[in-house]
Amino acid sequence: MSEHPLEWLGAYMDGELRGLRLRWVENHLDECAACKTELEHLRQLSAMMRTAEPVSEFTATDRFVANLTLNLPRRDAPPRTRSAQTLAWWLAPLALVGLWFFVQTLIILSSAVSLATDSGLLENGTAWLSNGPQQSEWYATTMDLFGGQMNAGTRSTVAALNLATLLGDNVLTQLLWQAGIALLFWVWMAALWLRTSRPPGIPAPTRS
Amino acid sequence: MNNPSADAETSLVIQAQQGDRSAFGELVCHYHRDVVNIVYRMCADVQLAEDAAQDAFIRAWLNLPSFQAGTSLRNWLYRIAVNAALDMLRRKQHQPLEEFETMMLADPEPGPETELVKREQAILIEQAINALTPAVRAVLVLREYGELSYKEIAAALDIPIGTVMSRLNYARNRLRTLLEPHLLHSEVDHV
Repeated sequence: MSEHPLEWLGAYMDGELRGLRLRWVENHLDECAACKTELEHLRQLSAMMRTAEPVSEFTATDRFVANLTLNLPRRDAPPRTRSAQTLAWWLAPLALVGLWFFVQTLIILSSAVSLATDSGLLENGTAWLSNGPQQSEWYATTMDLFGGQMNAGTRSTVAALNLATLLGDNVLTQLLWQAGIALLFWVWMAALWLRTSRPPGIPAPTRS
Repeated sequence: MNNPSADAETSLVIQAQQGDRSAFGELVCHYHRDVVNIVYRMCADVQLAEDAAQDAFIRAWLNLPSFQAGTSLRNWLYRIAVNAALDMLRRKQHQPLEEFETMMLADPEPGPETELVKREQAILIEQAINALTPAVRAVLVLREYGELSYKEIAAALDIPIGTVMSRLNYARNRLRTLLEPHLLHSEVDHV
């Protein structure tokens, strides 16, 4: 016979067991008379507690309510800001999603304009939309100092490195924006979940 | 007392949240016995229980605006009631276990009447429950008299479900030890 599930009998009686544990206890009870008797004793104890009437009489409900109504303190009107606060809690993640869309759109548009400008589609009319600096600082310094001594091959290699730096900076900036917004969104959602999963309005016991 | 339907109760709660005292009075009428019973089982003293119940309903009134519609008002009141009873017990001198055992040894009033026997049993049970520590008693009372699930008890007392289960096991074993010589059948031997 398997181990006696004595510590689980109370939970079984209370209907709190599920799945494998429940089947294990049920199977054990089918074949163990001692545990069955133990369960019966637990049920007997529970029934005794529930059927035991209070020894003394309580104040009649009507009288209790009348006394209580007299003693109810004044309650301030519920603050109107509460609903606004709740709404703000829900609107904040939506605003973050909106911000993410805005940043994405800005990046796509900026790339499209930049590509169109580079390929000459927009001619000079969009020069003011130029997509940031075309030279990184190290490139400008290098060209100032050693530009005259470089041959064509070195010059094109350095120019390619300059482009890669600019592209890397752009991608990094975009990634940082998106990661920042995503992080804010999930932190906010976690805070919202914690806030709503805790039952509100339960006054904690006072510490004496 | 007529039980209000769920819709009627929700309507009363909304009115009470807006400050309607008579709506709150109707809710108190409905839950008075249950709440008093819970705090009475915690305190084992009518006067203390009625004070704790009054305190609980006042706390409920003050915190009603933050009560979430759609959740169980009964469970919410039970949580407040148990906390009020625990506060009341902190202010009161606990009845020591020796007192329970002395009472067990005392010669009960003679008489074959069923009512007397029932009353005697009720006293024994109350004393045995009162011999438990308040933390253990709260779990037992919410389960046996409040009929809350382990999850609801855990939420009400802000303790893990495992602690609810272990406290219940402890409470039941302790009650059996205290009551067995008087009320229950003999111990079962496990092989």
